[in-house]
Amino acid sequence: MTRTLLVLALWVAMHTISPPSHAVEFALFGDVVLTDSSAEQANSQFVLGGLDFYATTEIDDKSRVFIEYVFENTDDGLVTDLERLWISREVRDDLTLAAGRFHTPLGHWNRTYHHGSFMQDTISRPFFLDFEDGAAGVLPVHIVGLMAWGTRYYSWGNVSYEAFVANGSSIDTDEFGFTASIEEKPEIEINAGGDVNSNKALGLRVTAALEEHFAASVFVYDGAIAESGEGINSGAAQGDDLLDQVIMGIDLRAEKNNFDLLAEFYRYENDAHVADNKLHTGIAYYVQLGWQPLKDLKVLIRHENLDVSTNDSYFQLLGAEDEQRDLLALRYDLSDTNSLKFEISRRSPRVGPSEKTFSLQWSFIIP
Amino acid sequence: MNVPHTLRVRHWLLSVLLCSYLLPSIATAEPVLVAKANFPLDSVTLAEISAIWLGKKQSLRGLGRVRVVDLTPDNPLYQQFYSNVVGLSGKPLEVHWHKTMFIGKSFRPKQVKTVEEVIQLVSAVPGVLGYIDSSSLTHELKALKIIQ
Repeated sequence: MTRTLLVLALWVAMHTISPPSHAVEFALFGDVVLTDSSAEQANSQFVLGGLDFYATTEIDDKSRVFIEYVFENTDDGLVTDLERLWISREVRDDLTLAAGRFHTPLGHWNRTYHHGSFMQDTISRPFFLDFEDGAAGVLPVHIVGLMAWGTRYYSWGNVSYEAFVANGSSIDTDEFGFTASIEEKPEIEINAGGDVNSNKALGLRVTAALEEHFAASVFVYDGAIAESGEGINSGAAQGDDLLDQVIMGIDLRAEKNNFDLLAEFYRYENDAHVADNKLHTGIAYYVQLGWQPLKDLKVLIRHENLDVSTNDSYFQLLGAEDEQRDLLALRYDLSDTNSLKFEISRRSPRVGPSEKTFSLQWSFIIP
Repeated sequence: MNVPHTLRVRHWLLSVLLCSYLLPSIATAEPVLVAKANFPLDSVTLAEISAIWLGKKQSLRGLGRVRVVDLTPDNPLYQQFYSNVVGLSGKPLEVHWHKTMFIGKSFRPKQVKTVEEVIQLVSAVPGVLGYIDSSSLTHELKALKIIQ
């Protein structure tokens, strides 16, 4: 009888105690790539992609924490990168305030896919959207600071915004100076551990969306690039601004039947305080068209372009020059959780021969 | 056969327990979409509700932000609602939510364990949608017709 009562008590307990209302959500993204290139000294190789882990949970009815780590295999061993870490509080329906490290709201690609390779239809990102420590990175794709976002709803769709104030970026010019190359270059430092000076970067992205099938955004980033080295090559003291930078752009996203379009355009204004002390402008853009003839199969083409002045200190410091890339890609979803992607791309730099690269990727999500 | 009294009582109690577990799932009615009684719409389309429940849409015809309160997956009404209305369940649903939440702007709906909690939240906050069994409808709620 005692045992029966115990079972009864357990049953009552099971039916009265609610589950935890703030469960932690987490998932893993990963991929393996086989790649071959016509570039000089390149060889075919298998490459492990980053293992991306994210977790998020509500910590009360209005507050949320979001964490994303990437574990990468490099020649130096396993590297752990904190990609995102933020805490947010919903103030009103159209205002959420957050503090931490974010993906910079510059364009759709950077804001949407980032390290989750499984999320994007192609193996590669548009080259100029490479990460700050990547070979072709020319954008501050992360920020550390405060962000506000929200959405207003209308009968025709909605308008959303993302605004931020963040630590400015910096570059250590001591090693490569103004003669960096795509192979040997410094990274754009986002100063997660503290800023090198008091100048902050400001930014805003406003998006108008018609239902789920069309969205257009305008965005602006206004900041400065500071010297974080000794200034041996730049002549600037540590903490001094090397240049003022304004990046403006638009991005478009459209879907119709089995077709989709992604396009982003960026315009740089780099006002140098070193080297030639002049204002230089440059542009970068990509256009990607996708066609999905079958539920599991997608065909994509993309054109990417970076057009900058050879005298622009910013691109000299990063070893970036005019370049175009064209790409043909296939994505085949083996299931909801993993996909095979194939990609042929042609890189056409302003100087030097064109290169062709073939890549095959198997990417997955562990939900 | 002479069964001891204590054993008969135990069998009776266990039978009651078993029935209490099985009956709700057998007798569960079709889920009914509900909003607060003064909600301005009387009907919504299946596509609208599916998009709202999947976080693809946060507003209905310019009415401002619409929020969702969900039941936990162990509730039979949850299974019916996701199969019949949302049109996505199991692993594809999990993958969808992780792809959505990874972007960092839209998150899985709040989940509660009981229909009573759904009623409490929906009737208290304008613009919150939920689903309950038809027998639990109260005067504080409006049942919304779902158009195919």
